[in-house]
Amino acid sequence: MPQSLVIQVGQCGNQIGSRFWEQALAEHSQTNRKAIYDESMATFFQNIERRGKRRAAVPVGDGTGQIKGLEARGLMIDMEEGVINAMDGSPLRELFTPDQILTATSGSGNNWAVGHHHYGVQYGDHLRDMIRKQAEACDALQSVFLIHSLGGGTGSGLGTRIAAFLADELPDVYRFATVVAPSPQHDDVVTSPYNAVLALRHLAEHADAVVPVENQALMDICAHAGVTDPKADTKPFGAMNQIVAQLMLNMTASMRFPGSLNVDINEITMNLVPFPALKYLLASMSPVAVRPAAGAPAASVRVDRRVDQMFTEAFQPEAQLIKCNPRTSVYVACAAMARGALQVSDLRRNIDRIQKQLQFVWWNQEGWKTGLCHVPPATTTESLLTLSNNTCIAQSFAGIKTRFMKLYTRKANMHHYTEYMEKAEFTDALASLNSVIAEYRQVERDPGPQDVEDDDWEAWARAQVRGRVGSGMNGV
Amino acid sequence: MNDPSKHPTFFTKVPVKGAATSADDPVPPKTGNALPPQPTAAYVPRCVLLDTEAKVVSSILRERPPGRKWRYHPKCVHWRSAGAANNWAYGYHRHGATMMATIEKSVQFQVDQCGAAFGGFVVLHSLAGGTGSGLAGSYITEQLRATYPAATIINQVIWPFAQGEVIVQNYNLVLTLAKLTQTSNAVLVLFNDHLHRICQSRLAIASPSFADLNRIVAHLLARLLPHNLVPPAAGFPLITAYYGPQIPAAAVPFTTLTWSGVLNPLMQMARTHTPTDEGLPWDVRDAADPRACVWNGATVVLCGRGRGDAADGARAFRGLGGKVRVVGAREVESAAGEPDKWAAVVGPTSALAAPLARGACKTARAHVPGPARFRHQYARFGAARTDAFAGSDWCCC
Ligand SMILES: Nc1nc2c(ncn2[C@@H]2O[C@H](COP(=O)(O)OP(=O)(O)OP(=O)(O)O)[C@@H](O)[C@H]2O)c(=O)[nH]1
Ligand SMILES: Nc1nc2c(ncn2[C@@H]2O[C@H](COP(=O)(O)OP(=O)(O)OP(=O)(O)O)[C@@H](O)[C@H]2O)c(=O)[nH]1
Ligand SMILES: [Mg+2]
Ligand SMILES: [Mg+2]
Repeated sequence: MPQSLVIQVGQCGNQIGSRFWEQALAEHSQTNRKAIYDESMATFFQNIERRGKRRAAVPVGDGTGQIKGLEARGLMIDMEEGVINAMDGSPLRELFTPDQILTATSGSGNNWAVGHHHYGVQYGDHLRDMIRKQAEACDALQSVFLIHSLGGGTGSGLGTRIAAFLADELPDVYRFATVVAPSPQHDDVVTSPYNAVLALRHLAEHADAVVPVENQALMDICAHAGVTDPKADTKPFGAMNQIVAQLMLNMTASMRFPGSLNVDINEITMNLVPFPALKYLLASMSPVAVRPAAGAPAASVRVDRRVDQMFTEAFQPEAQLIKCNPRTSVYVACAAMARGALQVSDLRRNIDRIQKQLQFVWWNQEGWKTGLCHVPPATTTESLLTLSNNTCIAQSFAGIKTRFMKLYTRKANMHHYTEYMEKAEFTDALASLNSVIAEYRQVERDPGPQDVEDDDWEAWARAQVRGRVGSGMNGV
Repeated sequence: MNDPSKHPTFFTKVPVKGAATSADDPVPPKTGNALPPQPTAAYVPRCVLLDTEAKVVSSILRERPPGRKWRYHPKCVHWRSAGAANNWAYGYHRHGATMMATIEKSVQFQVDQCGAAFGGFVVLHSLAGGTGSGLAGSYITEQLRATYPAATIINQVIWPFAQGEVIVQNYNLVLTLAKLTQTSNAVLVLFNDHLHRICQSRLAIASPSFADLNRIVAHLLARLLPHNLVPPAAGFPLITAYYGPQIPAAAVPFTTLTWSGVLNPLMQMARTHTPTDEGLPWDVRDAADPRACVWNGATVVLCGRGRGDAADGARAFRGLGGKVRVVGAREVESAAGEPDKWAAVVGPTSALAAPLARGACKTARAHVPGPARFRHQYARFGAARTDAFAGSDWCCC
């Protein structure tokens, strides 16, 4: 089975990463009660045996060996120490050895240029070494997941620098970025629009697929589920991050666990990214289990009803991890990845039903990719993740651009950036964002060929093949 | 087929290290080809298992249904870990040569086991993903054709559901069929939509699983494969099959079948490309009707008692067009719990044109006019638009 690395950068990246590892362990321990180090476990973890000072990786072998000690396949990176030090003493911290951690002391001060250029240069070689070392510990490394925010300095700046290192060091390995976009309302970072636009340009260049999530959407989902932060003015990051962690686990479930319709991680990019520029995937999940049993329909409800409800919910605007409405925009492609005791006919029934409610681009009218993984998440009996390539993402990007322009036209805070980078980087980044917005808008507006009716194509092609069978008959 | 000794077409007996026949021997290893020791004589199917990922084949190897007296030859099971990403080019260009080198010995071993009776290969694969289409259907089939020029190669292909499965399925299937028309003697097309419909509307399975669909395919293959399925006209190897009766196992003891009751609907199913006898358009009376499918010959396979009557009934199939052969199913008798009369009709039919046209025309639409969608995904593994899609012009794009 192929393996994956998780690279968490900055405060947001590391806080989401912690939840991810916690939930990954919960999920695996639920299915793997005898603590065996098997192929599935090996996706995100190494098995390490320690004798005194000697440290040896124990391979999967015949898949019956015990877990000796788990280490994460991943890196923790932050340019300040607080977040990572706060994990000291927690079981999670045990998953990482010192050579998987890089911290500095002063942070990037919410400045993309500091993370990308200052620390990117200072720690460049060191980071490349860290990446290579993790890659060497895998026998079939297939994908890397980057987690970071777009609004701060370290995650957005250094995180996107790391994306470039990955493209360079491991060109054949698929690069996924799960990124937290700043919310339009009450974001805590003034310069977040700068950071987001500068970061997006590098993701456009170096990531195979980007799954952006918005804090506002996560907050609303939590509020709907009745989870709020005790301190009313702050965000319930714990629950919010749990949702993002669950997203990543659901996305990789089918590569880790058996199912009757497997979806390997590289199939996601293959099916959902028709053009290199259209690589932004809108995620939604149902049920959203932000606390035990929340959102999950009662187990007494008949399975097919539960499944149908789950599909209905996942396609509602409220379930999307970005504030948008994909139903009023155009789907370029859509993946529905289910977990639990579902059968192919559950997919058929629901896709036939939901297809009618959605609008797909003319050249991909049946643009569905589906998956069935038999192992459910740790907290619910079944779950559905959808990943859609939908033109509504252009609106979110346009929103970021508007906020960028508000700062940019006033040259607000610009000198903090130009201390570390050329001013032209702003215009390049803006041009990159504009072209992504334009490409999505073009897809949305494209009415398709007017001269050829669908039926004509079919009739023409049918005549061709009929001719073949017919002419074959003359030969006998 | 629990008793392999009765089916020499499909099984051979060989000394196999670690091969055992009881259900309680140790679970085979999950990776690599490492074997437990101790050679024993065992029945093994004449087959080679192949995938670019581990999960499916390793779970097949772990299956131990009670009463099974055979097991897969451990040296004839091969996999990789990378997968083929639903990408024909990944399967063909990236995995093709290396996987072929790996399976060559296994194939030769199985061919040697057949001795003088060796007739050819049956390649089972889907058309929608990357492995079945690019690796098995295209690369491996091409290589088998080159190495064994006289062998009959039959490809049993699973046509994807029309809706909602693999987005790039039309690309993959057009690329594969373009290759298969060059290399295969017969391409037996079975439609997932049809199999699903049979399960739901005829076999009383409310939520069919892939296992249910596969049971139908396996049953059909066991009865068809002993016969010559190669269609008469060169250049169009595509064939499909219809069968009946379709009765849930529980209803078999309460059902009395006549040959005309089996064959009349079957004939109409074949004429109108309908997978079940439910809602048949009976008003399509003859080949002159524009809704009727054109057949270029057919083989009618009969299985069960009273074949004399059956042959009479089967004569009606001449109305389909072309030369019609009627044969009995030699290898397989109806087992307990199965209907005592069973028939299938198989051959090249214009019914294949519509789904083929759909697949091909979807691909064509995505290419012309405008930019080549998904091209960068295929180009990533060495299939430029021109060379990869050039061979597919036979079907329309
Ligand atoms: N969902 C979520 N968002 C977070 C979290 N922590 C910070 N954010 C968001 O991330 C943005 C700030 O980025 P941080 O990740 O804190 O910044 P950083 O990458 O550590 O960079 P510097 O602190 O500037 O060095 C803001 O939009 C925050 O709302 C978190 O745990 N979860
Ligand atoms: N009848 C039937 N169809 C199946 C089964 N498994 C997958 N399919 C169909 O096969 C197509 C998907 O192709 P797969 O065979 O899964 O793909 P693959 O050949 O393994 O290629 P990659 O996974 O891309 O490497 C879809 O049309 C599925 O509906 C099965 O067990 N039975
Ligand atoms: Mg910070
Ligand atoms: Mg596969």
